Amino acid sequence: MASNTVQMTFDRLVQLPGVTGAILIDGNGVPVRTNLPANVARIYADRMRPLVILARSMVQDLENGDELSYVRLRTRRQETMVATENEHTIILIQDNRVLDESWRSSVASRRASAL
Amino acid sequence: MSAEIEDLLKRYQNYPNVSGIIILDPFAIPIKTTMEYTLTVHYAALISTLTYKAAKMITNLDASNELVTIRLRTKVHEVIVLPSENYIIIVVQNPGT
Repeated sequence: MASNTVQMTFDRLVQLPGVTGAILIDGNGVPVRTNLPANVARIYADRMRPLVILARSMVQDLENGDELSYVRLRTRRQETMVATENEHTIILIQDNRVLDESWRSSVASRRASAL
Repeated sequence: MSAEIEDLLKRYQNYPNVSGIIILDPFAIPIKTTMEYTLTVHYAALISTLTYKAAKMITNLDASNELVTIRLRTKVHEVIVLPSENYIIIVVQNPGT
């Protein structure tokens, strides 16, 4: 049941604008689904795992009872989002330009509706 | 340097929902802060570790790439980290939605 929900979430996220890569990782750190080549997905999964573990423990250390929702790493070319709320982890790699454009249009439409 | 930091502080502080700003030097020592001191030191130690780890990881994945910002979203608040050459800026905010 939970696995189905995660799969549906993954399918929805892959269709976001500017997504150049998406990886679904289970609780053991094994990539389950991905649209990248298997070795690239494996590399991303292995690298992101210690970072997420560190971020999660950091958040719990800063404030008791708080929980990490996601981490966004923005680099010069792309933005990597690592969402981890339950057993599974989803890594999204998005292009910066497309992401900025969609954010800008979202802000513009919100402003237009406010007027 | 100091004027630049003051400008940054003023600019970010005016945004709504921003509950704290910390500016660290490259050795993770707080230069400026709008938060309480113990909390500042706590944030500085933890987030600088995460920042260096993330920057190293990005360089490992792609040598020509470079980390620009980190955004940590939790249930309660959001932490945005902007590493640059001379200092690291940490902004803590409470998003409305």
